[in-house]
Amino acid sequence: MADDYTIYDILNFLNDLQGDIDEMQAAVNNALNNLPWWVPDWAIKPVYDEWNNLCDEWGAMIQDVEDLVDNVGEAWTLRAAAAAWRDQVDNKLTGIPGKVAPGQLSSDDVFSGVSASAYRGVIPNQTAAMNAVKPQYTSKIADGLDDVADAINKSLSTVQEALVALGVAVAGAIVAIAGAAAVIPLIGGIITCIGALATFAVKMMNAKDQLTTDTQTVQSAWDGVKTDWTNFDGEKWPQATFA
Amino acid sequence: MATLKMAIDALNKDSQAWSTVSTGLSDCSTAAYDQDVSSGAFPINVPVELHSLYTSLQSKVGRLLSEGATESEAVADELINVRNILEGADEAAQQSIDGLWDFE
Repeated sequence: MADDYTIYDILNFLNDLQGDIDEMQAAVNNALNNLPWWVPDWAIKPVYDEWNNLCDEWGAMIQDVEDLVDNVGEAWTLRAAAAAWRDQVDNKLTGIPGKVAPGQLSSDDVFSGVSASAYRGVIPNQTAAMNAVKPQYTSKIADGLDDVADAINKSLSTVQEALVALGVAVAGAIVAIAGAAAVIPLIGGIITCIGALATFAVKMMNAKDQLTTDTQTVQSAWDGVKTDWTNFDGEKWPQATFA
Repeated sequence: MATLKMAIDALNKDSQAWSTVSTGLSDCSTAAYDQDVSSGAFPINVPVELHSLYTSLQSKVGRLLSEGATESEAVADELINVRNILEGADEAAQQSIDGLWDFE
Protein backbone atom coordinates (compact mmCIF):
# COMPACT_ATOMS: atom_id res chain seq x y z
CA MET A 1 0.00 0.00 0.00
CA ALA A 2 1.40 3.36 -0.97
CA ASP A 3 -0.33 5.48 1.61
CA ASP A 4 -2.23 4.88 4.76
CA TYR A 5 -5.81 6.06 4.42
CA THR A 6 -6.78 8.95 6.59
CA ILE A 7 -9.77 8.09 8.68
CA TYR A 8 -10.41 11.79 9.11
CA ASP A 9 -10.75 12.23 5.34
CA ILE A 10 -13.21 9.36 5.06
CA LEU A 11 -15.36 10.71 7.88
CA ASN A 12 -15.30 14.13 6.22
CA PHE A 13 -16.37 12.60 2.94
CA LEU A 14 -19.12 10.72 4.73
CA ASN A 15 -20.30 13.96 6.29
CA ASP A 16 -20.38 15.65 2.89
CA LEU A 17 -22.22 12.70 1.37
CA GLN A 18 -24.87 12.89 4.06
CA GLY A 19 -26.00 16.21 2.60
CA ASP A 20 -26.42 14.65 -0.85
CA ILE A 21 -28.27 11.69 0.64
CA ASP A 22 -30.66 14.05 2.44
CA GLU A 23 -31.26 15.86 -0.84
CA MET A 24 -31.84 12.58 -2.65
CA GLN A 25 -34.28 11.37 0.00
CA ALA A 26 -36.19 14.65 -0.23
CA ALA A 27 -36.30 14.42 -4.02
CA VAL A 28 -37.52 10.82 -4.00
CA ASN A 29 -40.08 11.43 -1.26
CA ASN A 30 -41.35 14.47 -3.12
CA ALA A 31 -41.57 12.50 -6.34
CA LEU A 32 -43.38 9.60 -4.67
CA ASN A 33 -45.85 11.95 -3.04
CA ASN A 34 -46.61 13.72 -6.30
CA LEU A 35 -47.10 10.87 -8.70
CA PRO A 36 -49.88 11.29 -11.28
CA TRP A 37 -53.27 10.07 -10.09
CA TRP A 38 -53.42 7.39 -12.71
CA VAL A 39 -50.35 5.48 -11.47
CA PRO A 40 -51.83 2.35 -9.82
CA ASP A 41 -50.91 1.65 -6.20
CA TRP A 42 -49.96 -1.94 -6.96
CA ALA A 43 -47.28 -0.72 -9.36
CA ILE A 44 -45.68 1.83 -7.07
CA LYS A 45 -46.14 0.14 -3.68
CA PRO A 46 -43.13 -2.22 -3.94
CA VAL A 47 -40.91 0.70 -4.90
CA TYR A 48 -42.34 2.83 -2.12
CA ASP A 49 -41.89 0.07 0.48
CA GLU A 50 -38.34 -0.67 -0.59
CA TRP A 51 -37.52 3.00 -0.52
CA ASN A 52 -38.92 3.38 3.00
CA ASN A 53 -36.97 0.35 4.15
CA LEU A 54 -33.72 1.74 2.80
CA CYS A 55 -34.41 5.13 4.35
CA ASP A 56 -34.96 3.41 7.68
CA GLU A 57 -31.72 1.46 7.24
CA TRP A 58 -29.65 4.39 6.06
CA GLY A 59 -29.00 5.61 9.59
CA ALA A 60 -27.76 2.15 10.51
CA MET A 61 -25.57 2.08 7.40
CA ILE A 62 -23.97 5.38 8.35
CA GLN A 63 -23.45 4.07 11.86
CA ASP A 64 -21.82 0.96 10.37
CA VAL A 65 -19.43 3.09 8.36
CA GLU A 66 -18.53 5.20 11.37
CA ASP A 67 -18.09 2.10 13.54
CA LEU A 68 -15.91 0.45 10.95
CA VAL A 69 -13.75 3.51 10.43
CA ASP A 70 -13.51 4.35 14.13
CA ASN A 71 -12.58 0.80 15.16
CA VAL A 72 -10.58 -0.35 12.17
CA GLY A 73 -7.26 0.31 13.90
CA GLU A 74 -4.24 2.42 13.04
CA ALA A 75 -2.30 1.23 10.03
CA TRP A 76 0.44 3.80 10.52
CA THR A 77 1.03 2.70 14.12
CA LEU A 78 1.31 -0.95 13.09
CA ARG A 79 3.69 -0.10 10.25
CA ALA A 80 5.88 1.90 12.63
CA ALA A 81 5.94 -1.05 15.03
CA ALA A 82 6.85 -3.46 12.21
CA ALA A 83 9.70 -1.17 11.15
CA ALA A 84 10.89 -0.95 14.75
CA TRP A 85 10.98 -4.74 15.08
CA ARG A 86 13.08 -4.96 11.94
CA ASP A 87 15.37 -2.06 12.79
CA GLN A 88 15.77 -2.40 16.54
CA VAL A 89 15.56 -6.17 16.95
CA ASP A 90 16.11 -8.03 13.66
CA ASN A 91 19.03 -5.92 12.45
CA LYS A 92 20.80 -6.14 15.80
CA LEU A 93 20.23 -9.87 16.02
CA THR A 94 21.73 -10.46 12.61
CA GLY A 95 25.34 -9.89 13.64
CA ILE A 96 25.26 -11.59 17.02
CA PRO A 97 25.67 -15.32 16.22
CA GLY A 98 28.74 -14.56 14.11
CA LYS A 99 30.60 -13.44 17.23
CA VAL A 100 30.74 -17.02 18.45
CA ALA A 101 30.56 -18.80 15.11
CA PRO A 102 33.03 -21.58 14.19
CA GLY A 103 36.37 -20.00 13.46
CA GLN A 104 35.75 -17.03 15.75
CA LEU A 105 36.46 -18.84 19.01
CA SER A 106 39.83 -20.03 20.25
CA SER A 107 39.35 -21.92 23.50
CA ASP A 108 37.62 -24.85 21.86
CA ASP A 109 40.79 -25.50 19.83
CA VAL A 110 43.30 -24.87 22.62
CA PHE A 111 41.83 -27.00 25.38
CA SER A 112 41.02 -30.63 25.87
CA GLY A 113 39.34 -32.26 28.84
CA VAL A 114 35.86 -32.89 30.11
CA SER A 115 34.77 -29.27 30.61
CA ALA A 116 36.44 -28.11 27.42
CA SER A 117 34.49 -30.78 25.54
CA ALA A 118 31.32 -29.71 27.29
CA TYR A 119 32.05 -26.13 26.28
CA ARG A 120 32.38 -27.20 22.65
CA GLY A 121 29.09 -29.00 23.06
CA VAL A 122 27.04 -26.00 24.14
CA ILE A 123 28.14 -23.70 21.31
CA PRO A 124 25.96 -25.20 18.52
CA ASN A 125 22.77 -25.01 20.59
CA GLN A 126 23.48 -21.42 21.55
CA THR A 127 24.16 -20.27 17.99
CA ALA A 128 21.18 -22.26 16.70
CA ALA A 129 18.93 -20.44 19.16
CA MET A 130 20.39 -17.06 18.18
CA ASN A 131 19.92 -17.83 14.50
CA ALA A 132 16.35 -19.03 15.06
CA VAL A 133 14.89 -15.94 16.73
CA LYS A 134 14.63 -13.84 13.59
CA PRO A 135 13.11 -16.32 11.11
CA GLN A 136 10.94 -18.10 13.68
CA TYR A 137 9.66 -15.13 15.61
CA THR A 138 10.63 -11.52 15.02
CA SER A 139 10.30 -11.48 11.23
CA LYS A 140 6.89 -13.09 11.47
CA ILE A 141 5.77 -10.61 14.11
CA ALA A 142 6.83 -7.71 11.87
CA ASP A 143 5.25 -9.29 8.79
CA GLY A 144 1.99 -9.80 10.71
CA LEU A 145 1.93 -6.16 11.78
CA ASP A 146 2.38 -5.07 8.16
CA ASP A 147 -0.31 -7.52 7.03
CA VAL A 148 -2.79 -6.09 9.52
CA ALA A 149 -1.91 -2.58 8.33
CA ASP A 150 -2.53 -3.72 4.75
CA ALA A 151 -5.87 -5.23 5.80
CA ILE A 152 -6.89 -1.98 7.46
CA ASN A 153 -5.99 0.02 4.38
CA LYS A 154 -7.76 -2.43 2.11
CA SER A 155 -10.88 -2.15 4.24
CA LEU A 156 -10.75 1.64 4.28
CA SER A 157 -10.08 1.67 0.55
CA THR A 158 -13.21 -0.38 -0.03
CA VAL A 159 -15.22 1.96 2.19
CA GLN A 160 -13.86 4.99 0.39
CA GLU A 161 -14.57 3.52 -3.05
CA ALA A 162 -18.08 2.55 -1.95
CA LEU A 163 -18.71 6.05 -0.66
CA VAL A 164 -17.43 7.62 -3.89
CA ALA A 165 -19.58 5.28 -6.00
CA LEU A 166 -22.56 6.06 -3.82
CA GLY A 167 -21.89 9.77 -4.15
CA VAL A 168 -21.79 9.53 -7.94
CA ALA A 169 -24.95 7.44 -8.04
CA VAL A 170 -26.79 9.76 -5.68
CA ALA A 171 -25.79 12.84 -7.65
CA GLY A 172 -26.99 11.21 -10.86
CA ALA A 173 -30.24 10.08 -9.28
CA ILE A 174 -30.98 13.54 -7.94
CA VAL A 175 -30.59 15.00 -11.41
CA ALA A 176 -32.66 12.22 -13.00
CA ILE A 177 -35.50 12.52 -10.52
CA ALA A 178 -35.57 16.29 -10.53
CA GLY A 179 -35.60 16.42 -14.34
CA ALA A 180 -38.01 13.56 -14.96
CA ALA A 181 -41.08 14.77 -16.79
CA ALA A 182 -42.66 11.35 -17.16
CA VAL A 183 -43.51 8.65 -14.67
CA ILE A 184 -41.30 5.89 -16.06
CA PRO A 185 -38.02 7.87 -15.90
CA LEU A 186 -39.03 9.07 -12.45
CA ILE A 187 -39.52 5.56 -11.16
CA GLY A 188 -36.30 4.58 -12.91
CA GLY A 189 -34.47 7.28 -10.97
CA ILE A 190 -35.94 6.05 -7.72
CA ILE A 191 -34.93 2.49 -8.49
CA THR A 192 -31.42 3.76 -9.23
CA CYS A 193 -31.32 5.30 -5.77
CA ILE A 194 -32.49 2.06 -4.20
CA GLY A 195 -29.87 0.15 -6.14
CA ALA A 196 -27.12 2.57 -5.14
CA LEU A 197 -27.91 2.24 -1.45
CA ALA A 198 -28.26 -1.52 -1.68
CA THR A 199 -24.93 -1.79 -3.52
CA PHE A 200 -23.31 0.37 -0.89
CA ALA A 201 -24.66 -1.87 1.87
CA VAL A 202 -23.19 -4.93 0.14
CA LYS A 203 -19.80 -3.24 -0.28
CA MET A 204 -19.77 -2.32 3.38
CA MET A 205 -20.51 -5.92 4.30
CA ASN A 206 -17.68 -7.06 2.03
CA ALA A 207 -15.26 -4.60 3.62
CA LYS A 208 -16.01 -5.98 7.08
CA ASP A 209 -15.84 -9.59 5.91
CA GLN A 210 -12.52 -9.00 4.16
CA LEU A 211 -11.06 -7.35 7.24
CA THR A 212 -12.15 -10.33 9.32
CA THR A 213 -10.63 -12.80 6.86
CA ASP A 214 -7.34 -10.90 6.63
CA THR A 215 -6.95 -10.55 10.38
CA GLN A 216 -7.78 -14.23 10.85
CA THR A 217 -4.88 -15.03 8.50
CA VAL A 218 -2.53 -13.03 10.72
CA GLN A 219 -4.00 -14.64 13.82
CA SER A 220 -3.29 -18.06 12.36
CA ALA A 221 0.31 -17.12 11.52
CA TRP A 222 0.89 -15.66 14.96
CA ASP A 223 -0.67 -18.68 16.65
CA GLY A 224 2.03 -20.66 14.85
CA VAL A 225 4.71 -18.32 16.20
CA LYS A 226 3.31 -18.67 19.69
CA THR A 227 3.46 -22.46 19.68
CA ASP A 228 6.75 -22.85 17.78
CA TRP A 229 9.50 -23.90 20.19
CA THR A 230 11.92 -25.33 17.63
CA ASN A 231 15.48 -24.82 18.96
CA PHE A 232 14.03 -23.96 22.38
CA ASP A 233 13.40 -27.25 24.13
CA GLY A 234 11.41 -26.90 27.31
CA GLU A 235 10.17 -23.55 26.00
CA LYS A 236 13.39 -21.96 27.19
CA TRP A 237 16.67 -20.72 25.78
CA PRO A 238 19.13 -23.66 25.71
CA GLN A 239 21.23 -23.87 28.85
CA ALA A 240 24.98 -23.36 28.51
CA THR A 241 26.18 -25.28 31.54
CA PHE A 242 29.60 -26.88 31.07
CA ALA A 243 31.61 -26.22 34.21
CA MET B 1 50.91 -27.76 21.87
CA ALA B 2 49.49 -24.60 23.44
CA THR B 3 51.41 -22.50 25.95
CA LEU B 4 49.91 -20.99 29.09
CA LYS B 5 49.85 -17.61 27.40
CA MET B 6 48.01 -19.00 24.39
CA ALA B 7 45.49 -20.64 26.69
CA ILE B 8 44.91 -17.46 28.67
CA ASP B 9 44.62 -15.37 25.50
CA ALA B 10 42.11 -17.84 24.09
CA LEU B 11 40.01 -17.70 27.24
CA ASN B 12 40.12 -13.90 27.29
CA LYS B 13 39.12 -13.68 23.64
CA ASP B 14 36.26 -16.16 23.95
CA SER B 15 35.01 -14.64 27.16
CA GLN B 16 34.93 -11.23 25.51
CA ALA B 17 33.05 -12.69 22.52
CA TRP B 18 30.40 -14.29 24.74
CA SER B 19 30.10 -11.13 26.78
CA THR B 20 29.52 -9.16 23.57
CA VAL B 21 26.85 -11.67 22.57
CA SER B 22 25.24 -11.33 25.97
CA THR B 23 25.09 -7.55 25.70
CA GLY B 24 23.66 -7.82 22.19
CA LEU B 25 20.96 -10.28 23.21
CA SER B 26 20.13 -8.17 26.25
CA ASP B 27 19.76 -5.07 24.06
CA CYS B 28 17.51 -7.02 21.68
CA SER B 29 15.44 -8.26 24.60
CA THR B 30 14.95 -4.71 25.84
CA ALA B 31 14.04 -3.60 22.33
CA ALA B 32 11.49 -6.39 22.04
CA TYR B 33 9.89 -5.44 25.35
CA ASP B 34 9.83 -1.82 24.17
CA GLN B 35 7.68 -2.60 21.12
CA ASP B 36 4.37 -1.91 22.84
CA VAL B 37 1.42 -1.36 20.54
CA SER B 38 -1.83 0.02 21.91
CA SER B 39 -4.91 -2.16 21.59
CA GLY B 40 -6.60 0.56 19.54
CA ALA B 41 -4.02 0.15 16.78
CA PHE B 42 -5.48 -3.26 15.98
CA PRO B 43 -8.94 -3.69 14.46
CA ILE B 44 -11.48 -4.16 17.22
CA ASN B 45 -14.53 -4.50 14.99
CA VAL B 46 -13.64 -8.05 13.96
CA PRO B 47 -14.04 -11.33 15.86
CA VAL B 48 -10.27 -11.68 16.14
CA GLU B 49 -8.28 -10.66 19.21
CA LEU B 50 -4.86 -9.71 17.89
CA HIS B 51 -3.63 -7.37 20.60
CA SER B 52 -3.33 -9.95 23.37
CA LEU B 53 -1.76 -12.38 20.92
CA TYR B 54 0.77 -9.74 19.89
CA THR B 55 1.56 -8.99 23.52
CA SER B 56 2.17 -12.67 24.25
CA LEU B 57 4.58 -12.91 21.30
CA GLN B 58 6.38 -9.77 22.41
CA SER B 59 6.81 -11.26 25.90
CA LYS B 60 7.93 -14.60 24.50
CA VAL B 61 10.67 -13.04 22.37
CA GLY B 62 11.73 -10.63 25.10
CA ARG B 63 11.98 -13.46 27.64
CA LEU B 64 13.89 -15.83 25.35
CA LEU B 65 16.41 -13.16 24.40
CA SER B 66 16.87 -12.24 28.04
CA GLU B 67 17.50 -15.90 28.87
CA GLY B 68 19.97 -16.05 25.99
CA ALA B 69 21.81 -13.05 27.40
CA THR B 70 22.02 -14.75 30.80
CA GLU B 71 23.31 -17.99 29.31
CA SER B 72 25.92 -16.19 27.21
CA GLU B 73 27.12 -14.21 30.20
CA ALA B 74 27.38 -17.46 32.17
CA VAL B 75 29.66 -18.85 29.46
CA ALA B 76 31.78 -15.70 29.59
CA ASP B 77 31.99 -15.89 33.37
CA GLU B 78 32.98 -19.55 33.37
CA LEU B 79 35.77 -18.94 30.87
CA ILE B 80 37.05 -16.08 33.01
CA ASN B 81 36.98 -18.36 36.06
CA VAL B 82 39.18 -20.85 34.25
CA ARG B 83 41.50 -18.07 33.15
CA ASN B 84 41.80 -16.74 36.70
CA ILE B 85 42.68 -20.20 37.94
CA LEU B 86 45.35 -20.61 35.28
CA GLU B 87 46.78 -17.18 36.02
CA GLY B 88 46.70 -17.66 39.77
CA ALA B 89 49.24 -19.20 42.08
CA ASP B 90 46.78 -21.51 43.80
CA GLU B 91 48.11 -24.97 42.97
CA ALA B 92 45.11 -26.67 44.52
CA ALA B 93 42.82 -24.70 42.27
CA GLN B 94 44.93 -25.51 39.25
CA GLN B 95 44.86 -29.17 40.13
CA SER B 96 41.08 -28.96 40.41
CA ILE B 97 40.76 -28.31 36.67
CA ASP B 98 43.14 -31.06 35.63
CA GLY B 99 41.29 -33.25 33.21
CA LEU B 100 38.68 -30.56 32.77
CA TRP B 101 40.68 -27.83 31.01
CA ASP B 102 43.97 -29.21 29.69
CA PHE B 103 46.12 -27.24 27.27
CA GLU B 104 49.40 -29.09 27.37
